[in-house]
Amino acid sequence: MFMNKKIAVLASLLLLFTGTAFAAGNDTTTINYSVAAINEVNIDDDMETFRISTATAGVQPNAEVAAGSYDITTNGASNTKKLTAALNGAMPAGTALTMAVTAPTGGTSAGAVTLTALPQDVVTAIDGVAEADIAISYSFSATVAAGVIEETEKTIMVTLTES
Amino acid sequence: MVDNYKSILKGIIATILILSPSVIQAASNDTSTINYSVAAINELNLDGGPYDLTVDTATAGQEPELVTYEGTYDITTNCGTNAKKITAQLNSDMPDDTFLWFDMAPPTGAASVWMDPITSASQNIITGIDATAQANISFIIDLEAWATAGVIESASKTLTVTLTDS
Repeated sequence: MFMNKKIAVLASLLLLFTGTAFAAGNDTTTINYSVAAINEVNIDDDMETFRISTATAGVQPNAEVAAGSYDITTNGASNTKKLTAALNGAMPAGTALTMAVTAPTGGTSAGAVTLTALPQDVVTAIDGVAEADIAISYSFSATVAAGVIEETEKTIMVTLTES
Repeated sequence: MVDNYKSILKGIIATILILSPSVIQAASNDTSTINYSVAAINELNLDGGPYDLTVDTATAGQEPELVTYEGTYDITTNCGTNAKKITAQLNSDMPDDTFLWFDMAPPTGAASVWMDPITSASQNIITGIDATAQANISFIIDLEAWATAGVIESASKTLTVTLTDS
């Protein structure tokens, strides 16, 4: 009986010492972290098709319009980014392709911009932002001088770049 | 041996961490394809109508005076140079000794054709039409009725004006 009590006391002491030994252990680790410059822009519409085929007698043919959208994520500082747009080649004489890009919160839209082969600002003063489904409006117009044009393809490149 | 694997693993992780920021930055643009076309457009419109013409005066000893209606028309076409013309015809011929004359001013670049009175046969009115979009170009319609035509109670004709290939 006495032995049993001694064993129990020893066992308790061992448990206590073990716990104390674990509690007294400590260590440190260093966390290195960084956030890279992130600049993502995505045009939601891979393709838009325009066909001008109507006019009122006496006036130029009716323009065709289309609505699209884009998504943007950038962690740029305030007013440090802009969106530019350019075509892979100039439009034929007598035709025009315009693009009006709504600005993300804090940015400034340039309104309807007639696209050329040279990059032009469509949105400026972009802050750090992550927004999806922002509106884009396209318009294709042709005067009668452009004549009949078979289906032709152009590529619009939209770039998120430094202001 | 285990240490070697650890070193290799650390190397791989470090490489991935170094590459990741440049991969993210590379996606800062996007493209979209625009397909466009312009169909052949040929629109012609005579403004107003119906046009009322009544011959009701004459000088004694002469045929009744012709009467004139002055109107305008609109045209839009994206054709090639000299590729279109305008023709006119009536749904049936006029009664004996009555005549309708139809004269249209040409749009820029085209030419009017001096013509006989219009009949049920199609006749050229304007030729050599280029691509154009013009409104309110003048035209006139003359009604001539000789005395031998007699009195004609209210009657009507349909004038069809067509923009067609030259």
